[in-house]
Amino acid sequence: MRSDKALTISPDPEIIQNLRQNGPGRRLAEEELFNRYMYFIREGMIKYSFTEEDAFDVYSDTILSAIEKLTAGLFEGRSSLKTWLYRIFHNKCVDQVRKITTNKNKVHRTTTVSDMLMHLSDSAKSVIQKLVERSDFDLLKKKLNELGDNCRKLLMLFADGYSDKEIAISMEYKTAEVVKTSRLRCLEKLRQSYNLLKN
Amino acid sequence: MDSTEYIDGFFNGSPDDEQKKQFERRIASDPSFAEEVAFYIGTSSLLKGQLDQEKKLRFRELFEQAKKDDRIVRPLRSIRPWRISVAAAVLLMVAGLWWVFLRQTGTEQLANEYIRQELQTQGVKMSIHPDSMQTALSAYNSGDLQGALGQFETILRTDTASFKAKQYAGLACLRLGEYNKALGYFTKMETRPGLYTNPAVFYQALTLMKRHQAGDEQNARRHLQRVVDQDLGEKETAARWLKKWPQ
Repeated sequence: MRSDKALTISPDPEIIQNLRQNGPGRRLAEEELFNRYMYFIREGMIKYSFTEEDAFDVYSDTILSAIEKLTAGLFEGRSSLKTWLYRIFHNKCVDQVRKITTNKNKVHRTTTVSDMLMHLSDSAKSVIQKLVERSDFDLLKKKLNELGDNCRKLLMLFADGYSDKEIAISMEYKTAEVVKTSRLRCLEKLRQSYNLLKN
Repeated sequence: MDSTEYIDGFFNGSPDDEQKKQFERRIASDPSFAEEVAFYIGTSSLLKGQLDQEKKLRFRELFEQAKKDDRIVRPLRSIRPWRISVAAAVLLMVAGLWWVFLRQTGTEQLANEYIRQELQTQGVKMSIHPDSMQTALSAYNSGDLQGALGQFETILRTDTASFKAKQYAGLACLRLGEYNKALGYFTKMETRPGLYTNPAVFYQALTLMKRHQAGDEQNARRHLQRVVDQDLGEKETAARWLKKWPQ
């Protein structure tokens, strides 16, 4: 049932609007975007001789990257959505070919850290990068899962690009301010429980 | 909590240069603050990674389902209505031109073929003292159509009733492309009674098929039908052509 609905073809502006609205239609819009250009996977297999697994990974990363850019309003509409998306897919395929030929790991989306560090100068960036690399991500993950559904959902939605105001509407909080306070409290709680075990 | 709020505000806002410098100075001077920044960034990265993983799982389900249902197809390009209209108009125009061309070449081809096979030369009587008609026919047969026409017309000036002179003058005009003049001679030929076969009407049809002005094709057809119905000269050819006539 869900997949039938997701396969309904919407015009580009509609799908972009649904992604940007961060409302209840966003999940469907993400799935529709994925479904619409799924044939890229086959093209990746034929054109770049990828295994289905590799082609799927590259395509999924393409869609995730596109969703991030679309929700952030970084798609300027100079070309059609398909052309723009294919360009991202092609670039990721080329990256993947390089990774395969140099025996490196698969393409992963590790942009979040570097994106955030862009705000900082090189010296500050280097300090923070070293500290991040020393993090115990397994422990952090464990503590995140122990945090409770509400806190986890708050943090996840914010990480997914939803604003405090949009989270307030989605999770029925009174105001965006309440969301922000709750979210930061959750983050603080996570940090304390993480530091407690880490140190 | 104050630091967390400060860090959150820094990464989710638009800090100016002074705010950036202040933030960086604190990283450099306060190791616990630097640790908090690293934690914030590390957590954001982990959350994003988990989100991506969850979405990828959803995508995997969609992909497997689509594979099962054999739905992974490249969609056809949507065609805008104006493009359909333009395509239809072009198609109609091409079809129209093709139809006109086919009709034209259909009847004209029959006429050309007949002229090439039957009217290139005319019989000349061998004689020690060739008369003016034989001289004119020789000119006709040698391809000097203009010269031949002049000679046939000279004969007609002295012998206005000469059926053969009218026929050959008409044929010379036809081959020279002087269709109206040719029609004039063939019409005059028609008035000659008592002949076993008179191809005058058939020649008129032939000339109309070559002239190909508005209405000529219909008239040519009527003439051919008359040839068949009245058992006139070139009846067999007329009947054959009528069978091939474009509808």
